[in-house]
Amino acid sequence: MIQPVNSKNFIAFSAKEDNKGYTHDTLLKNNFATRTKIGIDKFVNALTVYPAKGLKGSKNSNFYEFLTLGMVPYLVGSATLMGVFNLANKYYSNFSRTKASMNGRKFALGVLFYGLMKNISKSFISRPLKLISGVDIEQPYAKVIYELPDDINDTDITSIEHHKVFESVDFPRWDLFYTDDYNHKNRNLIYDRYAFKLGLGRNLNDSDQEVKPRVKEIAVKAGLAKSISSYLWAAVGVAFAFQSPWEKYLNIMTFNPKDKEKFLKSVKAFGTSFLESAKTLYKGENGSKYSGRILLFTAAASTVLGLVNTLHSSHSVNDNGNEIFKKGEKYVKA
Amino acid sequence: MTINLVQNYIKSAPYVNSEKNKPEFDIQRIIDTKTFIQPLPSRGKLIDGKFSNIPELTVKEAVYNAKAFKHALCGKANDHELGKMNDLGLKLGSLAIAIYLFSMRKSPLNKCMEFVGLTSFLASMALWPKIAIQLPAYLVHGVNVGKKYQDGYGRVKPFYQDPQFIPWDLYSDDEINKIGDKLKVPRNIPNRREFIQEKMRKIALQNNTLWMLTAGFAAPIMSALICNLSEPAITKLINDSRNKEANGILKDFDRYVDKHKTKKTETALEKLYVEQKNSGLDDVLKEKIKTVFTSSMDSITSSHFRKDFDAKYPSNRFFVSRENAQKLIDELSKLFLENNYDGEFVKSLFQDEKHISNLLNNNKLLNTAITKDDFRNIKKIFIKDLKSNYDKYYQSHPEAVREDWGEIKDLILNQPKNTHPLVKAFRQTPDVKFDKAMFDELKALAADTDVFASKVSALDRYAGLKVGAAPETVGGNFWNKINEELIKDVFKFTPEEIKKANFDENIMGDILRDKIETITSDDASYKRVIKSIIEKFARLEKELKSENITSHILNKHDKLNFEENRQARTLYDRITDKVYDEFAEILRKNGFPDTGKAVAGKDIFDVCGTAKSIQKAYVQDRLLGIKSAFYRLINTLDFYRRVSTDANNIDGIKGQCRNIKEELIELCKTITLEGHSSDQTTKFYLLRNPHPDLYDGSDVEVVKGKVKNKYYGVIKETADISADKYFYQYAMRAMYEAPMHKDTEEALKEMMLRNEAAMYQDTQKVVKESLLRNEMVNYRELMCERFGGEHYFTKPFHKIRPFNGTGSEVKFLLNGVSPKEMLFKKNQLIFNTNKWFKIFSTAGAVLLGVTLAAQFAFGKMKNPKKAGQNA
Repeated sequence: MIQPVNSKNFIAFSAKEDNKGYTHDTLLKNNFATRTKIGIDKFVNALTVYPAKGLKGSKNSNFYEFLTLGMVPYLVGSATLMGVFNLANKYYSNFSRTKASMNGRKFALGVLFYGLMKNISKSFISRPLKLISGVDIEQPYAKVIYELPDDINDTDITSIEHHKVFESVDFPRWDLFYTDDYNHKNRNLIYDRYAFKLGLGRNLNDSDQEVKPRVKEIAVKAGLAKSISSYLWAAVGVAFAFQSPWEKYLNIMTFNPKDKEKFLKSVKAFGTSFLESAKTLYKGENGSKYSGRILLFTAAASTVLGLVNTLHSSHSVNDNGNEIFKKGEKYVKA
Repeated sequence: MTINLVQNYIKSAPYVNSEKNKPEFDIQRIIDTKTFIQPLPSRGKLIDGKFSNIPELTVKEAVYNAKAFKHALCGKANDHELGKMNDLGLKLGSLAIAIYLFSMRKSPLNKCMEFVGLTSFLASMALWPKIAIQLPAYLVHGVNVGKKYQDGYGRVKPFYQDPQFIPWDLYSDDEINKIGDKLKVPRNIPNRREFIQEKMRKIALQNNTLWMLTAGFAAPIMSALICNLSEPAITKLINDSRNKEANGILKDFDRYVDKHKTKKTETALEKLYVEQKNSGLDDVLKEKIKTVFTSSMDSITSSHFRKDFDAKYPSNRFFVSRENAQKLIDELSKLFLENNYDGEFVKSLFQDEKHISNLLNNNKLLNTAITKDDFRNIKKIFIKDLKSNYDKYYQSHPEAVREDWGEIKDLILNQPKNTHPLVKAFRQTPDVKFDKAMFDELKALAADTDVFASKVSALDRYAGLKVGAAPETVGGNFWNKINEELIKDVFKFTPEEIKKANFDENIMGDILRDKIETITSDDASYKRVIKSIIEKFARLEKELKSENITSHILNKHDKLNFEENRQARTLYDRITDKVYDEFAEILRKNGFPDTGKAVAGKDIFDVCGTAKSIQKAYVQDRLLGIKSAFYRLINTLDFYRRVSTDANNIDGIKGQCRNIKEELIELCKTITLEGHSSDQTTKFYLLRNPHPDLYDGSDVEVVKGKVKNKYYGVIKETADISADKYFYQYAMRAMYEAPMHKDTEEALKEMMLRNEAAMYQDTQKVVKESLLRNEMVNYRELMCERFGGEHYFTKPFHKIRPFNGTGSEVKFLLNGVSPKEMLFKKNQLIFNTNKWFKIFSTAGAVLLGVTLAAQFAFGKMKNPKKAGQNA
């Protein structure tokens, strides 16, 4: 039975700072350390807490947990895909094994580069966007969740979720950008900064109201650009892995640093193969002279066009704004 | 009277029967229960995902996605629409991978499999939750955990997507109660609907979690299994399509050529003419023209064309103009400076452009055409001038060290003819021009060259599709298919035997020998096997169409006279002859006789080494290699059969002493099953008893196809007796000359009745003999002739024919692949595929089993007490 929230059963409707680190939803710095911390937190939860809650049918399971669980098929799927092309090889005869292993390793490399390129390429949009417009569409924040207690003794009813401010374009967490100022003098500090970067000017009366529609549009367009371009860059990653110079590295690769000589040779071969494969992808081989180049340019074009389209919004909205709020008019035309 | 507007309105207002719309409307009940405080009615609806609705839903989704893309592009999309863009990105990215890998692959099957892989992966991702999760959950619990709904804005979403927000109001009480009954929730419990909803939520959440946990394993395995299982069907589809294309090429050759004709040479020549119109035909331009023509030719024809072109358009006439003056100074100065003459001295020798121009003009050379023969005279003029300048120099520079005039003179006179500075200088201004007349002449030839190239390309395409040295030709596919059938259906290898034979070719040899000996010792088994093999082999004839291509030596075409040979030509040969002869004639008429000869010989009797004969030989050789392997297999089985049934009466073995009989049988069994062409060339090597008991003429004992040896393998002192030419001859006779077993003969003859008639129906050709039998007989004779007539220096008298008259390539092709090797290679592939399939089908089955079993652990909730029962 669900217990009422009161002081007797020690269920407090707030989070304790010393327990979870946050007492309320908090903006986080978007730096490598935070991203790594969030990544690890999500990864651990996706493999432990969330599946356990889901399989039990917990009443506290939510959509965030379901989405975070989406990491599992990606990781497991990548490993399985590598396994599909490698696990049976050891049973083959020497000649078949050598041939199959090379293909299998290339596939494994393809899976690895797919994941790497897919994740790295998102920053091809978000980084320049932040630099030019000041809008960080990847801005993370910690969300404090108040759960229903599992039983009468369950006092740990808070949990922390890591979201991004613009992960929902319908409901961006605008509230987190208001600075916590008692006198409300600098309440729009962050919005002022955005307004300036977006070219809306300084010292606006309601910078938040000016900025919000423009930033939302940027978030939508950047979302589209990321979705399309990241998968095309992932395809570039696969194509890159399938270049023949990788065979030099794959033949001698070792991850055992104890055997120093072999390990160093392997690292050196990785560097050489990396550069040669990049060249081969661009120049083409085995009759596919232009396909690598076309794929590369398509991915690059998707990023550039996506970025241009995203940045274009800042100016177009500004123009529309001028049309709506015309000086000298007594009322606003609908 | 004042008009009461309110009364007027009431009178004129339309009557609304609220009772009709709400028949159960009871104001008192609503006030009592306070149900007037309720949310607005939902505008959403549940989606019926039945099969018949799928096309409509798919179209709607596509339209929605297109709109979502537009909205996202304008920055007006909502979360749901942006989510759809992620799906679109995934599909685009996957398609990009498939297209890229497609471009990298060589063979059609591999190219095709890239798209099969993409489709199967996307399908697996979509199908796994439906097949392994939603369907079992529905069957076990009666709850559709994949249910979708459309919200008030028309967005289609999974009903249980967010466990904290499930739009339960879309389900009526009746529907929920029905599900509750399936869930076996007691009827009269308090808050039954809420209890059922909670149970449904729990089941859906558990299944969604299960989906996330299993999808990573399932999608790659399922996709790989789909690819694995679909590969044979796709191979067949591609093979049929390519075979049809190949047959179509010969059937309507001109139409195919028209459709695929090229204008490469003509276009390149036109382009060159635009660039070099009326330019002098110097060596550079000539090279460009030659390259235009030879780019579509093979290297031999190309070299002949270059020679003919040089002969037709000689470059030994030059036009002398003022342009040559500076070039003459440059070339001559270069020569002197290279020979360490002083720069100032050299300058004074040749002076300036004006001086040389005047020199040419004074000698009436300027603006005239000269040939290489005129160079002797020009040299004299230059030497005379140089001498004058030489003298003048030393008059003005008396202090300078005097250079030897004789050496200077020799330097001019003794330069090689073709690289002489004068020739180099004049070569820049050739007298022949690349003018309209020359262009028109060459253009006609270019058009004919293009037609020829298109025709050759069509012939190459046909040869490539049928028997080319590439994967997945009709011949190659047949080879693969038949080999697989031989292992699985004909010789019936068990999984254990496949595993054993995988690692060692010798183990394969032993297993195969055992099997053949067992089969050949049993009448019914042998008849079944030989018939089956011949039937399978006859399929090759059908697929390749032997009226179109054939192996000439297997059909004794080399023994026919010229006219008979021309009559016996296949369609491919006839077309090849026509194409090459026509082009050769054109070349001859256009002044390219050597090229014509290289293309098709000097006349129809001259065929050796021409491009035409290479075009024909390629197909014949490829076919010979394939056919020999199968005739060899038949011959091997036949020999084993003869040993199993009547070993002592085989020609070559009959009448020998028992020791030699045993040795001969062992040798022949080994050679037929495993021998290479090198074994044939070296006239066989066998460690034999040097002192056989010649008085023991007893019969060899054969039990179940195996010889019970009395001597062979028992006698320890053995050696290869290289002087015993008879042993070699007996062996060759036993293997290839002795009559075939009657069962083999019958099986071959029977094929005539089954296949030959059908095969030649379209050509109305009457075939009285079995093609396969004829070729088999010829094959055996060729083995005797080509190998038996071969001279080997260490065993010079080991022959059964006087001479062989053949090269090593034909012998290699004729020997074919040994049955042991042929099956060993295929066996490895079968083992690998089986092993892989076993591992991943087991993994897939276990995963499916666990996923299905999990359903029985889901949705467990304690039912509340029924109304009236005590807590």
